[in-house]
Amino acid sequence: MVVLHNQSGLCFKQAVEDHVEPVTHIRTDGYSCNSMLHGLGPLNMDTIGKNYSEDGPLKNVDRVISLAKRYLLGTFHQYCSGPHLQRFLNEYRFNRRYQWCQLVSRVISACALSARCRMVQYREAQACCILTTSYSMASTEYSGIKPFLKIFILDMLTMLCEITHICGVEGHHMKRFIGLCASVLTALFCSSALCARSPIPDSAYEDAILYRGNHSVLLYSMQNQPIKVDSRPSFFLLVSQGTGFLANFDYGNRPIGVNGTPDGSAALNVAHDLDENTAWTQLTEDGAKKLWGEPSKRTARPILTTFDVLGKFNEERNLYHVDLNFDKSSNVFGYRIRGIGIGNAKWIRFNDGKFSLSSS
Amino acid sequence: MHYTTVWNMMHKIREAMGSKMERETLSGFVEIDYAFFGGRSSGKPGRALSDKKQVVVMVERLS
Repeated sequence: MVVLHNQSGLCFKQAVEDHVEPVTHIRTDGYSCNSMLHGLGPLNMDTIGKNYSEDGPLKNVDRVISLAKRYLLGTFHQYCSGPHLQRFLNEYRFNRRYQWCQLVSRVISACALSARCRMVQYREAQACCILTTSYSMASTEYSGIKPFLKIFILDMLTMLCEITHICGVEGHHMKRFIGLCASVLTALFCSSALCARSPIPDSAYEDAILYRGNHSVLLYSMQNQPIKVDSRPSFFLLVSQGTGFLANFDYGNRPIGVNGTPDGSAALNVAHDLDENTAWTQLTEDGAKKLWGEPSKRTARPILTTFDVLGKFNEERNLYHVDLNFDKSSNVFGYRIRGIGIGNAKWIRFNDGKFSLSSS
Repeated sequence: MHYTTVWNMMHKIREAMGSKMERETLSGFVEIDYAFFGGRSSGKPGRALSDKKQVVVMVERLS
């Protein structure tokens, strides 16, 4: 939307020249000023009629104008005229969030237009790492993510690789380009906005799922300090089934260095430790106390221990309660997690070598 | 904060939102139309009124 300084046709022509590519199909109505566009040369004027064109009215542009007028009336009560009108119109945004087919091109154009972005330089070092991480996360089985989203991310990554080939971006610029796209992808992938609004995918685990994150939530230690595992910060990751394990987020979101002992004394075995069942069986009473501090209260049953744990997801901080059942050798054999967004927390107990939902 | 301070800040943000629009160009199928913004005022209706601002709206179509 461009506010014209005067009503002359030249001003209008200048505005169109500034914002429209030379080879373009243009459709307008029969207002007299539009005849100025005939002189623009390479522009391809499709339909200029006395009234609306044969293909129907200018549906999209009329909708935008109507919404913009409604917006100015509703929000500012029309106190938006005069020299400041252009800025008020800048604020108006047409909602294109759910037009997925356009998303790739919009990401690319945003990358191309944001030449002054300082965050890019910071991202450069991490770019390839993030890209491979998000690719592996999308390609492997990852609970809580919807199938169509997975396919969509894979498509975007493939297109991204093709585009970098075709455009021949090299060296510094390619790093910058990939970095921006990858950060956008990662933000998209991790955004709770997508996941929180989606229906709960697995009804069998419905009560154990955190509604707000839907796929994961990060739990910090009780003392609000990261636990040291190999002098790197590690966190407690709760996946959608209500199971959890220790994870290290130094390498993107992929859990590396998972083990049940918070002091990191156990050897890191990625293939083995990725199994959440193993991690939970290794979590002992002492380990839980090291992780989350002293238990807040003990109920009448002496085996139940409750820890108050700060959860963090998308910069939100919430308090969760981890209830743990320990056996005689102080190993975990049952747990549940209560907190905001968990309607009816069910126990998950260790049965026949595997954790499963418990009826009691 | 004072009203004028907030007003200035808001308009700086709006200015920044428009800076991306200045660099963007449309291509493909583009619809162009006029609109007259500027609130309600008595007198002559429509585009004849001189204190209304003329706005060109350009929209890129999907297909």
